Amino acid sequence: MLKTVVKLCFLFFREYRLRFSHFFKYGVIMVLIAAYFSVLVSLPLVSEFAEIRPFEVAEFDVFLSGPLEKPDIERVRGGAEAIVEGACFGDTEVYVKGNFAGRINLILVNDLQRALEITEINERYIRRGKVSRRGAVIDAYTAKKLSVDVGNQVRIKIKKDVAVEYRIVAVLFPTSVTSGIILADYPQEVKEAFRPFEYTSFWVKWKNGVENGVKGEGNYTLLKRSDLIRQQKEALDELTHNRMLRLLKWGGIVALFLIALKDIWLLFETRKKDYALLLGLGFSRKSLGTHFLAENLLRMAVTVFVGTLCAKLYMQRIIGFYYPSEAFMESLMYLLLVAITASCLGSAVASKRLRRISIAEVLAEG
Amino acid sequence: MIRVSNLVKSYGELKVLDGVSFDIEQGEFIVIFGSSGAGKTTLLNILATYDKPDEGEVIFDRINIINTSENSLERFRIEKIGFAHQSSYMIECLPLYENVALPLILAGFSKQEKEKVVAKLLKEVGLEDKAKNRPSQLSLGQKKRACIARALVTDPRFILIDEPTANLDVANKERILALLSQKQKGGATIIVATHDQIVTKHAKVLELTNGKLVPLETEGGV
Repeated sequence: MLKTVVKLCFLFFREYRLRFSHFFKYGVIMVLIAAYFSVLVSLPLVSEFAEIRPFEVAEFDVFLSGPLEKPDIERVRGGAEAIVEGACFGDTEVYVKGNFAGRINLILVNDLQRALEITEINERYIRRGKVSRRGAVIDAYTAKKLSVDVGNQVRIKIKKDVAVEYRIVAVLFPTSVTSGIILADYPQEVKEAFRPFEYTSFWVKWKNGVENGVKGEGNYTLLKRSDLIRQQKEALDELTHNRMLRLLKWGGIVALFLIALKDIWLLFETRKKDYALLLGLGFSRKSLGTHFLAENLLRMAVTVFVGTLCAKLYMQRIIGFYYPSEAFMESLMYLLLVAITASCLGSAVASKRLRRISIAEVLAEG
Repeated sequence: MIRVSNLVKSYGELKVLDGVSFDIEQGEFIVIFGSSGAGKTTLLNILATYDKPDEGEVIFDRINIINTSENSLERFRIEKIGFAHQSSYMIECLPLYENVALPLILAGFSKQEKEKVVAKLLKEVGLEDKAKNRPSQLSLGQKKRACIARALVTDPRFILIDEPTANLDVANKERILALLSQKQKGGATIIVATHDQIVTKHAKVLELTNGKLVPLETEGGV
């Protein structure tokens, strides 16, 4: 029977070329719904809020994250021994500085691995490139804007007549951790070059004798930071537990299920006469039913896989966010479950119809 | 041998077959003649196991196909029956060659054997140059010949053909009838349903009228 089913699959494969518009129409609808669902599933994970966590860097007393107004910066500076716009370790310095646009523009590093560790930028946000290579890391958005990619040289003008060249070793997706940060190694010229930008985040080491904040103002900075984290956590909770988001997500699943069923049923109705003919020639109802199930499983699996892939590409290439593999697997799992359920249900009903089909009547139709 | 006893089939109030009985010996060529709507197709559908009668029995080589399980019927259709239905239906997505070769998938022919058998049959029905055409690219007459070729492709013991000469010109009618005669000489039992007088010249004729089947005397037959 397996041989017959495989042969039937090959024979009916030609139908996809013949009835391309039908398969294309329903295929595109299902791919779009699958992609829509995948994007919704990934939202909490790719959200910049998802990466909020306490920053613990031993060398510094506090990490401040923006947006901070100019007066804030002045007050912090008043209590700080050094506003080290970066993390220092050993003899190598990594310069960390925010920019006003709120996105990473460029990361220039001597030791990327170490820089990532210290800034808590997870390695999975690196799209390409090898860590621990000297060079520049550029964010996806800026890379797209400048039409550069891994391997290209970027030239940074640091003064009127001075420019330095860096080779891009990786592309980074923006998250809460990475957004608003420029990582660079620490030549003074580079630091100077970034001077015009406003801070949105920086590391602070307090002056001797100053604890937990600006002199005379108690826990001002820590409180500000705690408030920020709390607000962002609340926003994250709201986003992930939002009833509307859940409704949209599960609405997508229901829509996909119904359209898959409709597509399967239409396919059966179109094939009914073909199946009646094959039954008349001696093909068994079991082999035809199995073929129909196998074909639908394969078709639906391909559709949801393509949909999830589209969502990943959309998030990463168009929106510019990293699409976590957890979201990919989660949405694929849900969508496959729906695809398998719809295929099994549709095929079971079709098989039942096939068992009761009157060959003579169906062949005489039309 | 085929033995049909007291076959009754009704569609609502309309009794199409009303106690039809007849015997056919192996190797006979039988024509079931009758006007349009007389019940010829219904009778052939029942003989081909495509439909069930309300009453009666049909025995093929000691097997009563009316009481046989669906699994046994599937084997029976593959091994013994070659049926060309009146509708001349073919699977649209397959080219003519694949349509004709469909029964060979189950018969377990190798690719070489399949090509040889199908090519020979297509030549015999005059469609060798249309092998790659899709059904929508064929005329009604060509479809009819293709369906007859499909019915004959496994060289079955019982050949049933509904309106074999429908939509055919005279030359092609002769070609098909000659092919059927050749199969008969090879030992196959042939039953055709038609209202075409030309076919009745080649075989024993039974006329179906008012649900009853009666022998009809013709030039070539009884």
